[in-house]
Amino acid sequence: MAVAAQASGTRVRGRSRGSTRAGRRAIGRGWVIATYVALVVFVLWTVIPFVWMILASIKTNKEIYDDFTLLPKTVYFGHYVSLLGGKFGIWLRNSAEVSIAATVLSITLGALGAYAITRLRFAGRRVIALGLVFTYLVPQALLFIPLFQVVAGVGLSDTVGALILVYPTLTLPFCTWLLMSYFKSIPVELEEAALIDGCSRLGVLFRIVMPLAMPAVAVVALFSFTQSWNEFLFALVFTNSVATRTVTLGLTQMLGEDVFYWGQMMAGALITALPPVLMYTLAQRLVIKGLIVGGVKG
Amino acid sequence: MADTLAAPLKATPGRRSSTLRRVLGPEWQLGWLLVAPVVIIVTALLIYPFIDAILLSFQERFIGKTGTWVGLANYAALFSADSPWLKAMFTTLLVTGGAIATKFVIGIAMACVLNQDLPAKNLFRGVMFLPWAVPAVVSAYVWRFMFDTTGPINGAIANFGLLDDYIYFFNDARLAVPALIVVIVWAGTPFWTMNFLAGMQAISQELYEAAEIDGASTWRRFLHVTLPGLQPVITVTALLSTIWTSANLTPIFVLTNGGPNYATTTLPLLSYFTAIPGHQLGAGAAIAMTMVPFYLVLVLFLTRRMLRQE
Repeated sequence: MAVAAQASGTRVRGRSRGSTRAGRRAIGRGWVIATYVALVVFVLWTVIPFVWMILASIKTNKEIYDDFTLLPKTVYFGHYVSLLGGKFGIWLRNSAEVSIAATVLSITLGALGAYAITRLRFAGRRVIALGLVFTYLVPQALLFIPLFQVVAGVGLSDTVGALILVYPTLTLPFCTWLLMSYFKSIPVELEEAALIDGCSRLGVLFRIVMPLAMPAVAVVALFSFTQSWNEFLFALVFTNSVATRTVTLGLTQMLGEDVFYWGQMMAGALITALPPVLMYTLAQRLVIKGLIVGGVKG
Repeated sequence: MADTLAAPLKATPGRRSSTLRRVLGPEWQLGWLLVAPVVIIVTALLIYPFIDAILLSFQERFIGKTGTWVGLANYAALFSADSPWLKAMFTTLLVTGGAIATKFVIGIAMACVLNQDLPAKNLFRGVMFLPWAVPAVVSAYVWRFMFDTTGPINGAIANFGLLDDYIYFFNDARLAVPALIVVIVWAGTPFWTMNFLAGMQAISQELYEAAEIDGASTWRRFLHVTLPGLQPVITVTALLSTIWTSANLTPIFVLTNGGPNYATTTLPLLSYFTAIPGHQLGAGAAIAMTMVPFYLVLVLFLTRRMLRQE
């Protein structure tokens, strides 16, 4: 996170120096050729699985299993039709509900906490700030067994509510931490003026700090939504009936016993990947500034 | 500062409240009120479960039953002759080590390429970051299809008659582990690329100019300017990625489900199999706990780094 701030600061400096990067003028012809060869290889490596997924989702089963055709002869929507006619719509809705709830919780609670830690002086705030870093780094794999008991204990086993309860563990520490580092960069003078004018602390947070922190709030929203949407392990452990599955879990339960319905699988995979991919594409600039080092678990 | 100036004047009502203010800070009531939700969630759903996992690892406990204390029996069982634990630990190290080394090499090469003055630079960056945005389940299924007998790799083999038979990637341990690493690398490299790219842009241009004047070749400039300049970013990225890669069981669950013959069963997956489908929460927790010393070292390194940069 600190690296992010560092990087975005220097990026500005790099720009003002003029557009001649060290690269082009200085590197030899051999390296230029190598660069372009590597570029082609990397693009193919990245793109081929996506292309294969999209093509398979519009091929007929005959084309997938018998003909091995590379390109489909016609665009076949049958996989999408049968997919959306089944339970897939319920799973999409579950995922949307859980992700939106986790996002709203993370932004609201994260902003309150981050504001208190950066602006108010009280005992314990340093310990809390440190605790957030530690807890952010605790892997899910260490937590799912005891959380399974917690979820059962509060009577939420096999409900969408269980996921709304546990997903903030994935998002809240990082969101609070990221908002803290952004709040620190906002000048206090603005807030002091408003406080003198009789604005309350919460008024200051919601009327002055939050509007100024919109870029960070956007990153936090994106992070929480996609982390929750993409999550699999907790969904696997805490839910199991058809009606409570999220879309990532539903996808794994679509398999037949022995036969793989690849056309339908790929159609499902494509729809599942669409919301996070669209969001990242639209907000790429913001994300690259805000999420570097410490961002999405990868 | 208006608030702090006003505080002593306002704080007349009682002696008690002024002592509290002195000990707990001038704005302790509002401060604690605002951080309370975060603290409660983190305590109830992260710290408490973690402690509970430790306690659980000393119990024999089945799902839906109460536990009985068994001392170190769960741990002792891990080291018995027929226990899959040792193999799972080596698999975890193998998969994580292989994936991290490959992500480093591809990540730095990708960042070097994207750092050049390319036409449509932002488009290429956007495309190469795509695997990172995709859910792990999706990338695992797409690659499972890539490796399938109906997928493009075996399709090419059949069409061009390259081999007599299909390659069954997930039936053979010698192929399943590398195939798994390929998928993990494909999904995880963009995170490295992105960090390296940002790190490269933070390296001062003067260093490159000086090296050029001294007659350093492109390769030498990379070795003596880029790599040392990236060193802090490399450390943090490698530590974070090691934690996440070793703990993430999703790609393995989807691709191989731990097989063939436990060849791709890592410790987190073994812990899941034992605790949830196997119903033995205590034994599963003990397996998870054996990873803690490893994570503790990584997390301590990492927090020291991250706080220093802060």
